[in-house]
Amino acid sequence: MIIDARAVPRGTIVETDLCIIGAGAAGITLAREFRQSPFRVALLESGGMQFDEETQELYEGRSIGDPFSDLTADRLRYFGGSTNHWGGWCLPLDAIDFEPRGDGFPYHGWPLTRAQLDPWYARAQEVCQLGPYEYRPSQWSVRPDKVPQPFAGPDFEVKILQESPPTRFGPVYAPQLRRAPRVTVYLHANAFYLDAGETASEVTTLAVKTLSGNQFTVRARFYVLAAGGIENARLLLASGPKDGTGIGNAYDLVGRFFMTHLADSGGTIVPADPYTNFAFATNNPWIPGKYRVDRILGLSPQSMRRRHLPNMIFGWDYQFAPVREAVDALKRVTHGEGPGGSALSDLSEVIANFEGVTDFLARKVLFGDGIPIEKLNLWWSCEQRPNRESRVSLGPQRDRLGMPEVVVDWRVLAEDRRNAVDTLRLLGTEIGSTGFGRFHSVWPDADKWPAGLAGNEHHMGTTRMHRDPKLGVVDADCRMHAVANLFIAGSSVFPTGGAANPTLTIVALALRLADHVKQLFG
Amino acid sequence: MAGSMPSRRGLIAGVLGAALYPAGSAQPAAAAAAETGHAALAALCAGLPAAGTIGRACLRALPADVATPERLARLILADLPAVSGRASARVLARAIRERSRADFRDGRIVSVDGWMLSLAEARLYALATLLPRRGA
Repeated sequence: MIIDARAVPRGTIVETDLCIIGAGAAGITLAREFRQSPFRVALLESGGMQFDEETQELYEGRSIGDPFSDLTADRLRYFGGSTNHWGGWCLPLDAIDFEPRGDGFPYHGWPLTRAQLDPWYARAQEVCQLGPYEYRPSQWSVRPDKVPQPFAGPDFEVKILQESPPTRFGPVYAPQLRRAPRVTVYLHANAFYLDAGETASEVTTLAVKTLSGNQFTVRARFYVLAAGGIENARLLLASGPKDGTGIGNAYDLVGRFFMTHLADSGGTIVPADPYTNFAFATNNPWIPGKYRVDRILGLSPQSMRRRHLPNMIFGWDYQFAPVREAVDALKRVTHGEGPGGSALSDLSEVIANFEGVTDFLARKVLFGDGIPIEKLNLWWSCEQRPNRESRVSLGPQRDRLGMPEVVVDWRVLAEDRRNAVDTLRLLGTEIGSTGFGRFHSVWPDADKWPAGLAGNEHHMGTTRMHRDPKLGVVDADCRMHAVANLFIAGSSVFPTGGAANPTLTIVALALRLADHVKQLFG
Repeated sequence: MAGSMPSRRGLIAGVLGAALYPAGSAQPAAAAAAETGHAALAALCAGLPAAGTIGRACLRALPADVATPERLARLILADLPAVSGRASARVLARAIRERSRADFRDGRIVSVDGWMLSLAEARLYALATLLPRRGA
């Protein structure tokens, strides 16, 4: 059932077994897991079924640290959350991302292993409408002998990335939740205050507000906070005793260790041989509505350990030589292939590039070559070290609901900057020393901040997972150490973020949490 | 390799000859270089694509005290001990390509406006900028 919270009678106390705050990838995944269960679920969503500016403005906040992306643009606050503009890129974190690293990476590692999370990763594939849980390049027809030398190890290796259609969790899963007899979705329902009493050891009620001025209360056996990497911390800090420390924050960890991926589009590889065979990286055809498999590059775990580097992945777009347009025109003229202009303009294109076209045809016949590649335009994503001083906190201003504003103080350590630059340099060195080509780095100097780099939308770490309550907000089951009936879902629990896009891990953890809560219900 | 020294000297002389006395002049050093086929480095420089733009950036990236044709030519050739003084431009190009790979392996890398170039090729491009263009 999906209802409008603005129509709930003011002062109502909604009694439920499980209250989930936030209907993004994590919240919707959790709620779906309970659609056949005998337990009542209330799923609260701040927005409606569509984007609206008024609700989105509740994301406004201040950035006071290193350059950070627009807080009102990098997330979406309506049913489905940020999956409404998600690109769909999925890959699991690497085993090394879960491990403690004593080589200059303090606070690194999870209280879980990758192998322990694998069963839920496998189930997350289906939720994200992906293919099989298979990320070994060899299983996706990547032949080692087809991989150009700099990417065949030991420092760099081919990795697999699966692209979701992408799944828009809102429209895709709303029908299921609408039909679920004991799941109630409340739209326009803003979680405002978690009341955990004086002891702050158990949440008793949740105060809910709407922008229309309505207010009511949710009383549940268990609560799951799934509002996103920044908002999870914001609600915890804004709740609890009047001393302003928030709940579950005895060790001043909530909001700290805030990290994203250091990521940028930029950097160029110019191959020495424009006819370099990239067969290993040819994408599978993308059928609309289906997943797609891409080959990308990453630092190998051996290299990370040997060189004390963080995780980093790379992808690229091809920039073909201008002759491509003439060859496409020729195909249209001769075979009527593909969309294009008029026959006359196509013919003119071919004639104008006659020499290039004949060269292409000759090479195609003689050597099986394709269109020459002018360059590869890179994107990259790099792990950020957990840093206690990088944090989300509350400011003095209040939003329309009366919630304290969020203040983002995202900080990048000098080691992180140096490591990213070193890894890009290593890539350039490998490309040069193997004769593959030459590399242009957008970030050649760690002391200078690249123009295109800002904290991105992968908000992680603000309620980090750790066995020790002095080092983590939640335990390995995503339960808050200090609050017995409050769980946290989403990337805010990631103690380290690797280089992989976070959605698949968010969904896997949500599935795992659902299984755990079901066990608690008995 | 005592025998190779005069030839290498000749090569540098040839490069300098080409630099100081463009083709067609009757200067003895250039003529001598041309006679012995040691203008290979100059020929290689003349064939570099976009040498002007890249070369000027390379000049800015290299230490100022090496930014003369003579110094650059000496440094390039000093790193190519196996190249004979009679080497053709093609052989020289291959040697510099190998040297470039080794430079990358050895960390002898020059950052030129974000481009990662080997020291050998950065010097070569810088030299190309300092040599007069044919017909200029």
